[in-house]
Amino acid sequence: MAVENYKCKTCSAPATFDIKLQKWRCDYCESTFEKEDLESSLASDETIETEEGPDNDSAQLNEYRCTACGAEILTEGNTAATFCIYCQNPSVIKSRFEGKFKPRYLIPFKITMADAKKMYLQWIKKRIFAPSEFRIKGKVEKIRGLYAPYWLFNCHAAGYIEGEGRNSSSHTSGNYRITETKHYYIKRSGVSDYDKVPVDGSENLPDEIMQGIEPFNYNEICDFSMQYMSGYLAEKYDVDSEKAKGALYPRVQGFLRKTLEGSGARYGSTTISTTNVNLSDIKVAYAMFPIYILTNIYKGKKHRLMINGQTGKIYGEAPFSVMRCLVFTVVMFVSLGLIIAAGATVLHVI
Amino acid sequence: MLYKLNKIQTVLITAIFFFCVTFDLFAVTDKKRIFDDANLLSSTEQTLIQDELKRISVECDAEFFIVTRKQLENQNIEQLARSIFRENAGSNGSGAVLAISMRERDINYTAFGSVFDRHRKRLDRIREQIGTKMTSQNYYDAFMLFAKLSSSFGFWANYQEFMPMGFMVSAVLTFITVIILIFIHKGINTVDSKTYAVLGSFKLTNAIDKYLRTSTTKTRISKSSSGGSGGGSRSGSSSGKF
Repeated sequence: MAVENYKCKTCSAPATFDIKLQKWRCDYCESTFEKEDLESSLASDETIETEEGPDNDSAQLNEYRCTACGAEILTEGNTAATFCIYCQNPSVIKSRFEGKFKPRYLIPFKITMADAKKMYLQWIKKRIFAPSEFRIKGKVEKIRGLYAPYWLFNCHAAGYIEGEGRNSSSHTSGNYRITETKHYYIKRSGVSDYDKVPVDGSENLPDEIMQGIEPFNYNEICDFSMQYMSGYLAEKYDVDSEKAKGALYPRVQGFLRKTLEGSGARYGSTTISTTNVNLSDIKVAYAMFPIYILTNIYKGKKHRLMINGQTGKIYGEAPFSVMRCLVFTVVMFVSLGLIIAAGATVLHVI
Repeated sequence: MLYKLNKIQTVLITAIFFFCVTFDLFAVTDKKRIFDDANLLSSTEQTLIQDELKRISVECDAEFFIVTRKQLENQNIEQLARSIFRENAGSNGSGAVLAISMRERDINYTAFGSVFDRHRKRLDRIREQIGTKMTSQNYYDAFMLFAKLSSSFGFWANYQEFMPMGFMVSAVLTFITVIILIFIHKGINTVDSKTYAVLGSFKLTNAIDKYLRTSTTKTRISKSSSGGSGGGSRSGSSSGKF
């Protein structure tokens, strides 16, 4: 297994991608480099071959030797970029970005680890039902940055929806209020194109949470380069593009259905009974997008939370304290009831 | 500068003062306040209620009466209540009358002057609460409740009155708030149908809107019979059945 270390041209210490500078920086002599500088400095003797497990068995552990301290490191089958657990030397496993695993696009990290921690603390403070033990800084240390594998789909969608639209109007007649509702059969047909619809390519990363941290800003998307991986964890995909299509269909069908519902004549209320959307001209590209992951364990259950490493958007399973929820409900109910009664009394007495 | 009174003036003023006070007290104490023509109360109960109405009349500087009839004759229940007040209240323009007619099962609560000002928004509620006791034939309790509700003027009395409504509104608002907070506990999904759509690529190729039918629903509007009266004095009345 080929491992690459991007080294400082000045002192040969490991160079990692600096988010704020958007350049590569040596942690020891603080020299900074452009991507091209690192490519030219990568010498063939710095690439070493290590034992490698079978390509098709991604669940197995693979072994590689750290080029800095010589330690033998085990990685999971999908790990594409990692650190030496002894010397923290960043390493990129070249073979896991080659061939069918070579990504087309990449979005670099824009949010630093420190910013991500601050964002998490601000976010969790607003979750009033989260247990207080998850609001402390200690928990934040467990955040890790990761380049996650994504499939980006371009496609053309065509379809129609059928259903019933209703418009109501009311008037009074004597002691009665008469409500008239007119019912219409509605059908909307249409087409739309979609660009870079992301579907995550990892079994380990829950789809719902990955969709929750979207969207990424595609204005900053660039061609993939392995140098960006240096200093971060990265995973290669274990959900192939054919399997990812399974998640693409309902998403795009939902998008077109919503667009069709909002088009044409408007109704007070609508019920859609039939939806038929077909996708064609599907093109796919493999990409690596930056995310931060935090896993909290509360009462034996894992709660995963993710932060978009580009935009800072947070989404996830914050631990939920039933006791906090009950206390909040009772306090709000009683205090609000007393305040409303007092307000009504004051208005009445005045 | 003090004006010095002679003996005759002092005696006269004292006599006038005592005459006025005594007249006023007698006017309050001697007045008949319960007209139980329908014989709903025992004599003991009548005495107790008469005493209670006297007490609150002095306390509130208002006139309170209860009138019961076996049946109405040539007047409606509100007219009965107003005529009782007109004939018995004297110069005091404030007070309340509870009128009952057993054959028609009519109940009326009419308030005047300052009592109306305090209770104008809850005439229906007072009448309904008394009506509930009447329905269950707790006549004594019903008339005592009339005395209690009519003389409850302060902030606390009104506050207690509004508490059930306050807690009902609070329950709805709390429920909505907690549901929203639970819903956004994970965060908010900001991807919509336009996020990944190529700008300008959507084309509506066909739109059909075909009229099917019209459905009509008819709902009865519940109306309260309470309302203020015109003219110079302030009063309001609430009538219903028990």
